Amino acid sequence: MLEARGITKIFGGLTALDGVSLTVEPGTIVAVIGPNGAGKTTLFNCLTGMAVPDAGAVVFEGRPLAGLAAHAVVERGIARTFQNVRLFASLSARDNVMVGAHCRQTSGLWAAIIRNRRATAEEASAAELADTLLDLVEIGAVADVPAEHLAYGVQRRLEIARALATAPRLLLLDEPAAGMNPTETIALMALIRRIRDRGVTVLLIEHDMKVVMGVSDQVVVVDHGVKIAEGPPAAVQRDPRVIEAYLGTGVAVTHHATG
Amino acid sequence: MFLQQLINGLTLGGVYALVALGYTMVYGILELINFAHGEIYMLGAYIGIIALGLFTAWGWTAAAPALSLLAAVAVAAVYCGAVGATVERLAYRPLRRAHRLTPLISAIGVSIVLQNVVMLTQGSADKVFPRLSDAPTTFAVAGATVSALQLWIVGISAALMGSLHLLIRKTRLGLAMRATAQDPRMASLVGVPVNRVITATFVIGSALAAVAGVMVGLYYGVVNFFIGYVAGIKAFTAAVLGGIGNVPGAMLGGVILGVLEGLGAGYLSNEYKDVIAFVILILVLIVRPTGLMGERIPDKV
Amino acid sequence: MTLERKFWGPVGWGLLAGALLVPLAGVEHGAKIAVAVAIATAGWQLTHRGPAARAIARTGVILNRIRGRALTAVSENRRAWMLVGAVTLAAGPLALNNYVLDVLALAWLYVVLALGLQITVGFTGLLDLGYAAFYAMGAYGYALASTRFGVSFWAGLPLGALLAAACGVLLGVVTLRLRGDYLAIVTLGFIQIVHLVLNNWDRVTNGPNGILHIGRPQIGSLVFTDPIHFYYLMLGVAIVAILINTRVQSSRIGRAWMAIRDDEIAAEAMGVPTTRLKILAFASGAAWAGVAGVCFAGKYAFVSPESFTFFESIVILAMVVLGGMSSIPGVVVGAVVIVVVPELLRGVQDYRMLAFGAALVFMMAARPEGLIRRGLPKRRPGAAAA
Ligand SMILES: Nc1ncnc2c1ncn2[C@@H]1O[C@H](COP(=O)(O)OP(=O)(O)O)[C@@H](O)[C@H]1O
Ligand SMILES: [Mg+2]
Repeated sequence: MLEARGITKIFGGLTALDGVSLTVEPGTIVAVIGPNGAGKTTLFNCLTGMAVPDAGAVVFEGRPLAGLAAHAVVERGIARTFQNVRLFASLSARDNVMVGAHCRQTSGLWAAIIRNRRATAEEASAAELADTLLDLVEIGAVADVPAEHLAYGVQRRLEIARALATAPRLLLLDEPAAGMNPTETIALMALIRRIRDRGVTVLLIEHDMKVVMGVSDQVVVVDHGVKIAEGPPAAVQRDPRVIEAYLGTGVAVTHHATG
Repeated sequence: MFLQQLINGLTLGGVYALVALGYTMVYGILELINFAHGEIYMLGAYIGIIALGLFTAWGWTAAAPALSLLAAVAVAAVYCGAVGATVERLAYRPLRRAHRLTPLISAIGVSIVLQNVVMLTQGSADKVFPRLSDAPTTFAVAGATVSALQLWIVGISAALMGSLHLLIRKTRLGLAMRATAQDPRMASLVGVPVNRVITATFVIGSALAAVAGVMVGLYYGVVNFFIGYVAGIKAFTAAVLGGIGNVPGAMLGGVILGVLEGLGAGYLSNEYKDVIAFVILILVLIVRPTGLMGERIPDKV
Repeated sequence: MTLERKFWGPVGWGLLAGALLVPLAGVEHGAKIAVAVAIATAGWQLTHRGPAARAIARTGVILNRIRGRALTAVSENRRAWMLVGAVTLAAGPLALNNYVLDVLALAWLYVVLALGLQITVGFTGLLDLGYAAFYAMGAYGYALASTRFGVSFWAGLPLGALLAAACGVLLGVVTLRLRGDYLAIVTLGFIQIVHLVLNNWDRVTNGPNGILHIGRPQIGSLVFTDPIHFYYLMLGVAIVAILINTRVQSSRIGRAWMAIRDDEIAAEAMGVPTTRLKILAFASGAAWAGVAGVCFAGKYAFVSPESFTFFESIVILAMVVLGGMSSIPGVVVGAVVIVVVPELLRGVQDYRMLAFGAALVFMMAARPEGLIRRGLPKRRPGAAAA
């Protein structure tokens, strides 16, 4: 479904990504792990058109993404969330999700002014979709609350709903469990599986090993911008290079680390 | 002709650079375009007139013209430093966490207030600067004339810029300013008194603008309450030209803009002289928004 | 901290203000101002701390409750209230004198301008300080079309809107990549250049003397000349603007604009073509300025560069800010207040501008959300360094 080959990204003198390759099969959940500053978020940026890689290519569903603006990548079917929540603070939860639906709507300024039947129907179905997605992430009760007034955990869920509203076939989650308590984390794992069961492939960055081991089919380990291991969770967990990468930063793989 | 315009441009450039420093320092630390900065410069010119007027009445200017000039400059600098600090405390500090547009609009308000305070108290007619000597000293250099005042202006500008450079590079305050500019939250975590650093930045920037105001007032001979607006735009252009947030860049930008304007005034029509700054400003912002010496500011994701 | 508090009390502020004013205004005025500022600060503190503050807060809560009741009552009987409003606006002029009608017509004109700028600044978060340039495009566009080619006012309206929108697109395309406050500066440069060109391009704009004898609006044989004609004309245009903007704000486009304002990077990452929408915002806002410009030219039959300055932009911006950025009723109120209040203050003419500037500063500190709370979100934590 997604194939990234030799992605390299350099910031000034710093090589944030050094020839990282990655394959995501449809219908799977793939986790990217690695110490802080390893380049995971940068990898997401390169996959979503938010950063232009200095070398390498990304192919999604058989077509290259090179040169596409971020919003065009979304139209192709890749959506993402952010490590540090980036909601539209003054918009209600429902409106946040409806912004996600923007790229699947077609009515323009003129339709908005004359409010023709098609525009009205389109709005109604977007609102309906938004409410369905808010229910899916179990925050339907706060649909009318401005995003800035929501609790942190709710905001994280809202970000997922917003991303789903773009009707993605691949969803990128950047540390979705960060800052969540154990109960919330367990609910999140269930949510990720539910999203996969809806036919959305998931690529996630996560520090919480319980989440990684619990949901993912494949794990990719990045350290200092280089992919150092990949495979099924259990195998990766035993990989000496991985253990060393984590021990080097003072965090053991078997205990969960927070970012 | 060319040399003459170059000399005139260099004089103006020194002044633009002094004002530009205030924009750049504040932007470097707060990411705020201090719209009221041009007004501080105008205020400096007025205080200079008032001080020189007093000194003349007391007979100081006749006895020691150079010293009274320096004293007037100092008075204006102290006064404007105080105004700058007050403005920061009243109009900007309460808005640190607000949306970006909020302090900008507040700054426009401050600018209107300062203009009107001066207009209401000093009148809206042009104010004439007292002359320090009846026969201005001039020198002839390769067919062009340089006045003593021009030398003073370039000298004082250069000295102040040099001192500021040393202050930023070599002192504790400079270190604190650089740390705050990099990351205010981190700086306060490691014990930098961020609020005091910001106040100091405003005081220094405003004092420099005041010096520039007095010198320009002497140079042109008259000032008005609305000179701050255009001068402010030009100095801001200089700051952007050099790369906003970049102190040596502001100095370079000021001199370049001054020289271009000097040459432009000589070769283009005078009506459109003021357009030069705006056109340069727009071109730089569009073609190379980081300025000549600035670094790319990445968007954080 | 406590020391600072004590110093910055009423006495401190008073002394400071007085001291700063002495060199400019003399000792006597300085002292007066010192006392005035001290009293004002004390009053402010009294109303914000202590028992007085609590009493005021309680009154505020009660007033708010009354306002809530009133609003529910209004929305329950929306039809009835709208009828009352419509009748007042329609029949009112018959009982008003020409001076009042003139002021109100001007207020409606500014409502249109403020609603246009609200699209750019309030919805989309693009700080446009050169909005009056688009106003000028409409006014001069129609002035030239009318005086040179005899174009009628009604044909001028869409032409002016199109011309201004085209300039909006142009400015948008050029400035798109700029960060927020750089954009503000470029638009400022734009109005400055437009103003200079209007003043100096004598052959076309007739320089500072402006253009005279512009065609007035005309329906059949009725030529619009009286204030009451323009009252109705401007009221009509303002109502159309309110209706259109309300619909657009709650549409897919309006939502995308506000998303861009709240977080442009996130909007782009959620599939919103931010570049295109920013240009659209510029153009839509400019189109209203163009319409307003044509109305202005039609009303006064005369245009000159004086009317289209940076300061004019600021006044319109203040209306948007006062009204609370995103709220359409708020901006309508903001525009009316800023047109009408100075008329009421004619007695203290000299201090009008001073009060205006001070009000901007005060509004930003005390109530950055504007009169009607539906404003900009707070800066994201950490965004200061971004
Ligand atoms: N826009 C940027 N400009 C400069 N350096 C960056 C930028 N984005 C990330 N980096 C650097 O790249 C490295 C990788 O960062 P990131 O991808 O955020 O790591 P991770 O998500 O794995 O914690 C870090 O050293 C970071 O400082
Ligand atoms: Mg990361």
